[in-house]
Amino acid sequence: MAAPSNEPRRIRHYFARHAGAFTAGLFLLIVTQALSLSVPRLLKGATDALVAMDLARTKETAGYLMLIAVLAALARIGSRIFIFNSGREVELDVRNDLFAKLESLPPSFYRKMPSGQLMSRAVNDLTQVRLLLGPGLLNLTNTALVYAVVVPLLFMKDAELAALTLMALPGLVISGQIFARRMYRYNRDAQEKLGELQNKVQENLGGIMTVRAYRREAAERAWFVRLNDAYVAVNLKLAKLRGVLFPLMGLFGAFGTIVLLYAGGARIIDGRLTVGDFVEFNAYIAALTWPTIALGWMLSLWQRGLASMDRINEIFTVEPSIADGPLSARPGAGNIEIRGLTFRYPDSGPETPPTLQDVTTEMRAGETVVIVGRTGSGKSTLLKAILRLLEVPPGTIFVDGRDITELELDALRGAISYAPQDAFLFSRSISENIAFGRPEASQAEIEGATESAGLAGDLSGFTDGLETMVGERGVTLSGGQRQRAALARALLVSSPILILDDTLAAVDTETERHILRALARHSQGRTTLLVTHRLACAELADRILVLDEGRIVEQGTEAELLALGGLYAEMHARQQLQESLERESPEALNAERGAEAVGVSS
Amino acid sequence: MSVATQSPPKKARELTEDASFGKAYDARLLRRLFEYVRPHRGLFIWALISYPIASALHLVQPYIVKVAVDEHFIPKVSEGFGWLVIAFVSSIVFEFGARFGQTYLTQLLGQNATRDLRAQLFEKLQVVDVAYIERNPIGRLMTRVTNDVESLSEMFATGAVSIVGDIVTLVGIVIMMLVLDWKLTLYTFSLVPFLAALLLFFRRFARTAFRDVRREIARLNGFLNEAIAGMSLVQVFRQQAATMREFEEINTAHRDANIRSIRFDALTYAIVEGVGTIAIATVLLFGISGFEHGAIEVGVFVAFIDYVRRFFGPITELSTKYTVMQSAMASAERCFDLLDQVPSIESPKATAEPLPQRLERLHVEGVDFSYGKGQQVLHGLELEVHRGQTVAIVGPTGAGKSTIVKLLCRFYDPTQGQITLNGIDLRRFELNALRSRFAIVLQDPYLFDASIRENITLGREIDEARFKDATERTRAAYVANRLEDGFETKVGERGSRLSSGERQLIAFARALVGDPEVLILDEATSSVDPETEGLIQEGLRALLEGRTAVVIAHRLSTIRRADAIAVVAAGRVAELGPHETLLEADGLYRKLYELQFKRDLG
Repeated sequence: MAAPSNEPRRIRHYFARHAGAFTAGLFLLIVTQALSLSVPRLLKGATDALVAMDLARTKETAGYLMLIAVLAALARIGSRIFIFNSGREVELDVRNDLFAKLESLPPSFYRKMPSGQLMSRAVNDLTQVRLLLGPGLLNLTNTALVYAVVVPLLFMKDAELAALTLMALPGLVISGQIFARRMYRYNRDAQEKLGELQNKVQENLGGIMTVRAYRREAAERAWFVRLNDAYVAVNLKLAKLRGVLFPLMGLFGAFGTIVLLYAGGARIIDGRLTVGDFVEFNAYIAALTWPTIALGWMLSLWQRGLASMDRINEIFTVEPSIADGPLSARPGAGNIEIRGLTFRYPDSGPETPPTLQDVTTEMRAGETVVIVGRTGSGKSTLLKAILRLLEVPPGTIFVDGRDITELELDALRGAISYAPQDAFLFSRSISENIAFGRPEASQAEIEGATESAGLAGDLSGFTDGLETMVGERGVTLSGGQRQRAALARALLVSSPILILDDTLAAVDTETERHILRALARHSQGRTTLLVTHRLACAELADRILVLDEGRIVEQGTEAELLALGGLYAEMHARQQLQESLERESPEALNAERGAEAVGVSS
Repeated sequence: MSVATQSPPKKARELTEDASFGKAYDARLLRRLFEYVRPHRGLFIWALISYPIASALHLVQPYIVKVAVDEHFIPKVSEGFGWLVIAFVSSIVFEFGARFGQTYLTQLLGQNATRDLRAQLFEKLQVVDVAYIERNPIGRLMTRVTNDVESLSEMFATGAVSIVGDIVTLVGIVIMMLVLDWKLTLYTFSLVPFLAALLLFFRRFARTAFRDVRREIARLNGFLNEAIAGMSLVQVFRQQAATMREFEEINTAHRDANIRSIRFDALTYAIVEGVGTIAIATVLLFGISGFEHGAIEVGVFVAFIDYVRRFFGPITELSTKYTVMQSAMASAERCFDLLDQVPSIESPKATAEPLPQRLERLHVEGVDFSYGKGQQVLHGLELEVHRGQTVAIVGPTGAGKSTIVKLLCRFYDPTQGQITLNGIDLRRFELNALRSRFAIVLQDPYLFDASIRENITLGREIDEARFKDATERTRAAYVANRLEDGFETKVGERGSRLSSGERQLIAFARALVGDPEVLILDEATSSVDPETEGLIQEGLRALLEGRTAVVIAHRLSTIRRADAIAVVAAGRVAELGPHETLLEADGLYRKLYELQFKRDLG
């Protein structure tokens, strides 16, 4: 896939893509307004005809009114559909572009920007942009049209009266905008406070047993009351805003009518205006009120839309720190060489030592290497570096003699099968999850991988077997089951290099045996890298690497390392002791299987 | 023009779910909701008074215009016109006042009432059975306190609660019109049934469309969220193109659903906009014969134009309000459902037994327990702990060990049998007093998003010397001292800034600092690095020293330290005795133990 550009995207470019539909919508909007704004004219005609008792003319005017109302409604339907649909089209385009961009960004980006924030860009900010192009554009154009027609018309009729009646409109614009801004701000505050409240409840419920056991109920209640009051306080601000500004806008709007009744009335009595003129004036003032209120609202909508586009552009303009190299040939044999690799996470403090320090080693094609070490010793980091999920410096990692930073990412990753530590599964069927890296795999192949990963037995317990849905809409797999599914996913992809990151952490001994046997088969002829805490895996190894504080401190066969009496030997002894305590009688284990449906929640 | 409450320009307001809502006015629920309004009676009465005042003023304005037209404009009489203008201005200004009162007071009332309800729901969650909380997903319970109360608050904020008042206003308009000219009124509304039918017809489709939109939004967000979480997998397995395709598909479906809803939205909007003009045209076309006989005054026609606008303007709002009411009623029902939960685990209703000064003996007597039907976890469990004794419980997970902990703390009560303290059933003691003598350390200790100190004291009054002593003995001080702010360091959500081993040490300190008479400890099974393991061992020693304790044990060292070991298998105590005796007995315990040695040798 071609990497998306790092240029900021402009709203007008997206607008231009749908210019035709937008133009059609705006044209229909003009038609709508031209028709609607002739209604007061006709009302005047009808009223004057009534006063003059000219009933034929009244009926004729009424006929026009009816016709125009129908035509205006049709044009209005068209304009709204065209403009709002186009807004949705732009939303679709921006979101697609955004997703394509997200696919090109490396893990370090996702560490810096939490998913909540990304979601908010892709959902909330995009909504703001869409509102700018849909309702924003429609209403602003509308307001402009109404003003362009009505104001000159009224002034031509009676300039003084027009000036007097329209005097309050600026007040309406201003109050509309104040209202919109405050409303937005208070709403955001309220959302934030509500979020805090929600977190408190979640925490309280999650820790319910601790709360009860330590009789913290009263303290929790007090805490909740505080948050509750803070939330209500923001809401009361909103209430006051609504309470004052709403009627106030109505008052501004009514000002014109009051002036019209007073000054216009005097003119009618003088005979300078007709009753029909009064009706017409009144209808035009009414026609102006709503677009004027909307103007204030739309101006802040416009500002928010632009600000949101800027926030979305913060993602579009990110330069991916891991990008394709020039070489597209996929590695074949799977020989991995690491030369003096030192790596420090960019977001770690300057005092923290590098996660990997001067690592130099070679995994020869076909070799199985087991990597062990304490938590935080750099094992996973080393694996991720080989996959170029991390920003490795050039000239430190070579696959089949080629610097991996010189390779296309697709070529490098195409040569590797990987099962990560966290065993993430998508909310789809188990079968789809396993075939994730090879969607074209046959049913038999998927079943084979499932069998090798020791998951087949578990699946027979599900009514839908391989087609069982995982995640929110389906079953919740245990940690061990997830790991084995992730293992099957990696095993299904045949590639010269197999990388497994602590895949057997949550698996019982018997299953572990089964998997190890299968792995021995799968690692035939492939370079296999296995990070593990379970030293039983060591029996697979041609060689064991021991990492400590980012350095390779020991390497060799298991026998050699045990004889050495160093870190590996120590870990080995400790694990024997620990595992011995975790041993449990098999029959009791079986009895338990059914009973643990109701789990401990904290 | 009037001071009508118009809703703000429509933001993209997410409609609340309308899955299966019942009545918008449920007398039973409203009566119960009124209980929350009662304490704020003053507000309620003032709000109640402001409604009819605002409505009456609203209705009188077109009538004043009618009088102006018929008695001043047409006969050209200026005498008394000044008074009429003053009346008009006053009606508008006072309507402003009344509207402010109406909007603001209603919301004030709503905020106060919902704050009380929210606090009450949270309080309920503090006393409801642990079983209830474990049975219901936390998200669902959270929804009660947040979203459901929110939708009730929305009912007040949008004025939906006054929907009856609005309908009364509409009826008032019709009555005014009928009084002015009943024939014209009939012509005016002759088209209404037809339009209403049309709108209802659209509404049905619109509802399906909106439901589709909500479903697609959920799908889109779900997919996006998951894709972001699993992005490195997408990249490693080189599925960018396939994932992009899938995303495009969902994004497109989302757009299409929106476009469907735009269609109905545009139709409805256009009809509502045009209906007033059409009604006026109908009056002119068919009602005009009355003018011929001089039966109708022109002022009536002018007033009709105004009344028609006031009638059709708020119609769309009315249907929104109806939806808000429906969802509020459904929410109220759910909230009351939670409030109606009767906890089965409580302090005794009558006088509680005073807790013995000295705790001599804790006895689990023939306890059966099941979480639900057909899931019996404990079968006639017998266990006795004497003062100063440590009893270790071993056995496989799910054999009922964690359940024993829950029963001892009275999170649950036995289905059969009893647990006694100095021979008195736990159920006869005051719950808080009982728990104050116990300390519990759960398998996965729950930390709150607060400082380490707060997590240890949990709001208890602890003097500094005791705090220092407890934290040092349990090695929690060691954890704190490694962090930048020591004991004041915030631990993050669920203690995420600490490792699982560190969390355990904090929980030890939390237990020890209260100097409990009985300690109930569920040892964590997760493995930790050797250094932390050492600290935990030391902390455990401090914790158990000379204390009456029940420990679900996973460590050899803990088992060795216990005065007695209870081997629990399939909900029964299978063997009981000190380590050596049990080994000699050559039973289950010995098997467990030997199994470990076999592995050690192999």
